[in-house]
Amino acid sequence: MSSTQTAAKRLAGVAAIIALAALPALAQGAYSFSCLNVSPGATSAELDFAWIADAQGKAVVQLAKAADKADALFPADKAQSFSGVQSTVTATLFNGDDKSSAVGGYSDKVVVKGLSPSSSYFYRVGDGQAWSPAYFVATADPKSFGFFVVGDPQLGAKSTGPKTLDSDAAGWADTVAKASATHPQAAFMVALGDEVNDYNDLKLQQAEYKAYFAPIQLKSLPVATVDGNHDFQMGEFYGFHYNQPNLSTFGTSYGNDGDYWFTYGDVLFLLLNSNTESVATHDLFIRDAVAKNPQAAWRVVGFHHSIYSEAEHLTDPDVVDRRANYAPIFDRYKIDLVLQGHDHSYTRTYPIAGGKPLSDEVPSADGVISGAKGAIYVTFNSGSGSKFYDWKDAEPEVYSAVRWQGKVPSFGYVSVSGDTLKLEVYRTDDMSLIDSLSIQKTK
Amino acid sequence: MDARGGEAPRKALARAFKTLIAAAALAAYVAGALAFARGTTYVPLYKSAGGAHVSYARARVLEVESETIDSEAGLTTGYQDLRARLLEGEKAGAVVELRNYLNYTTNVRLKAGQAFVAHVDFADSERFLVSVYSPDRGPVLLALALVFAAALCGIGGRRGFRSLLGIGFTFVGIAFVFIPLLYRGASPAAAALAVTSITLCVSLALLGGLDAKTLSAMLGCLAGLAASALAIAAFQALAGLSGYTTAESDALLAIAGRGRLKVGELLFAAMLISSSGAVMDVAISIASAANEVAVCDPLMPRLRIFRSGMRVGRDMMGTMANTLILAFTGSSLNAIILIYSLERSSLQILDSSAIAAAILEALCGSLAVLITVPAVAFVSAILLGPRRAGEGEAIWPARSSINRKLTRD
Repeated sequence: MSSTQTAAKRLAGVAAIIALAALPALAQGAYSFSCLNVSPGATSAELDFAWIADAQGKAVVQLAKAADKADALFPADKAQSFSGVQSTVTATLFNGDDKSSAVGGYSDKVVVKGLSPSSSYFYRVGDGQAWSPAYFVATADPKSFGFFVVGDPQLGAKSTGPKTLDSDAAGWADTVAKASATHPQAAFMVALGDEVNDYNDLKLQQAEYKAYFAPIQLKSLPVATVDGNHDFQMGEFYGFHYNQPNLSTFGTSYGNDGDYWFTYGDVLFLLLNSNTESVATHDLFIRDAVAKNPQAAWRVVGFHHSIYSEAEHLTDPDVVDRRANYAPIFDRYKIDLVLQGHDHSYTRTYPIAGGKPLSDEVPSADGVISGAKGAIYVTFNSGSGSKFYDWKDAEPEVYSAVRWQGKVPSFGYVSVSGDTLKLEVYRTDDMSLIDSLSIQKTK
Repeated sequence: MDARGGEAPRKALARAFKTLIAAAALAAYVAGALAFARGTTYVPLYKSAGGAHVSYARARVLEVESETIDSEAGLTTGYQDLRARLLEGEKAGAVVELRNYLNYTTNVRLKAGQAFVAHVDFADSERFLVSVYSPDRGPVLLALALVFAAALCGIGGRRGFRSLLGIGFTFVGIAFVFIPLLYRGASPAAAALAVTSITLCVSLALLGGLDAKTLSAMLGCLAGLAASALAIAAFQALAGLSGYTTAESDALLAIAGRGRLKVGELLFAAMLISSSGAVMDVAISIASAANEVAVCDPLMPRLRIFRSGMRVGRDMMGTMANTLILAFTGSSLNAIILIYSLERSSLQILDSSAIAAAILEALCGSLAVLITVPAVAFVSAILLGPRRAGEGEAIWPARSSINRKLTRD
């Protein structure tokens, strides 16, 4: 199926969601839940669902082929059921004893397997009796697919515009809507940490999570999330919101989730929790993931604390440490592309090997870097526009090929097809391109 | 020192006793401060879980197995493959192979036999990665400190040694009292006021002993600090600046949420501490000049001592205010260059928190210096002025020290 067809189906799907949402709780009892979201599964044939249920009960996802949905109702008789696990949501509140305690709600996680490529589905979540509305979800063609990348949405940072959670959330919703409209065929999104803002204020974070998951498109667009420095402090609280595949115990701190990986076609995605001082843990995690996926032609790393960026965090002591210690590991495992957030500005480096920017490896006239001998590091600006940082130095750093601080929300779209990976970065006000680059693999 | 009759041994004994008391008090203070600091919980923000951790250990290069080096524009880049032995820590004695990258971030080219500080990163209790953190700079820094201390004592004599004690006192006060206080949830403003006041007074006392000159400088310092605190607090409030608007507030808030650190007042504390050095400088200079004037003419009227103090102070004001403004320029140079390159409007510049904070700091610090001048001149005039009937007790220490000096000279 061509991507245009998938796109058309997605648009039809969104229309169907609206239709279904207009028929609340027809026949079924109301199912009370929040923060429903989808993550990419271990491979393109899986999707991982997570949501917060208000009541104790089973965690179930029902999935039906889009073609089986003849009318506005969810075709329950033709749907396949997948059961998962429920756990009580806890948080470490640091009110003296540093112990985690139940904070209300139940974290439901379900893995859906056996999906076909380039296929459209409807799903609903519930406890087996009561159900959510039905939502659309689709898989892409793993041989030729694209994914979005966003830096720190950080809802609740309140540093721009009217400085309210609502204005941050509006910026986020706008970015998600515009991205989805321009690339409706996107397989998923990578969100590079700091999805929420208030480190360890439970009430504020709960409101921020709801705002973060609110855009309707996120019920249909899987998101691979990494743990940022604003997200990780309340122990496992962050992890209760997401269902991440191949989750490792490496990379944890304070009881939060560690690194995880998944593959989509020929690409191995390695998502690190950089909120930990030990880099040796990431080394072992990557070694293991790489060994398990020898067929992956591309290796893409994503984590929060950008090591080669140019703004506020450039000289933070912890960032300086990471710059010294992460880069050699990415060399060792021949990483192609490193996606980062944290610095609320856009920077794309030359290929870097041995900590040295290969500034003679520049794109050809048609924007292609062929056979790069190092990893290219891209730091993404804020996806919501809730906060921007100014450059630390007037002149670009030696490693920077492109830098941009337009103080408007932006997002990236990376498409992978065979031996070419193409990165495009858009500003959301006029949807013009900030940066564009193709990386070509040579045998 | 000349001995004068039977008084000398008694005086020497008294002085030795005083020194002993002072040394004991200082030792008790340092021990107390260390215990206080050690008992404080600092927030280990990125501490790893499950046995993973990072430590630093001295190590020695056994062999440079190979080198791939490029020299470009004065910067050595490339890498070295090293064999090294860890000399301390959990894996002391272990021989490791490591690749030492030379680039813009890490650039420590090592030779066989050279000692260095290794970053030892444990994934668990057994598996660890070693990288080069830095050359072993400890001995060099220690040598520099010793050279400085020797120069201070050699040139300054007893005074030099006393000022060394003052520096030590300040260091202990900041590192082991002030910072732990902040982590324990003390108000940074109150802690800064208390620590700077005590540090300035004790440093002055250590330097000059407890005489009228020191007392004048101390009181002037306290007046200057008070003026500084009031000015900073008032203008900070008017300009809408707080610790929350500083560049590091993001990271600080992350720590604050997990402990008791009060981020909002940190900017005030930082500004007060920055200005306190200049205040002390001006205070002792004026008190010292006033004292010299009084020593030369023990019958010098108070008004003339005050005027002399003011004249010295006026000369200092200009340079001292300039010093603070130059210091501000130096520390904000990157920001200033950026502002020029961006062709920002003056309104935009003054509106930026960093620049506004720097201006506030420079001007409030200068204001504190200005207030210190008449304050010290006034107190000096009172304490060092000619002895009149009925005022003997109040000014006795000053006269005694002057007389002693006169006799000695």
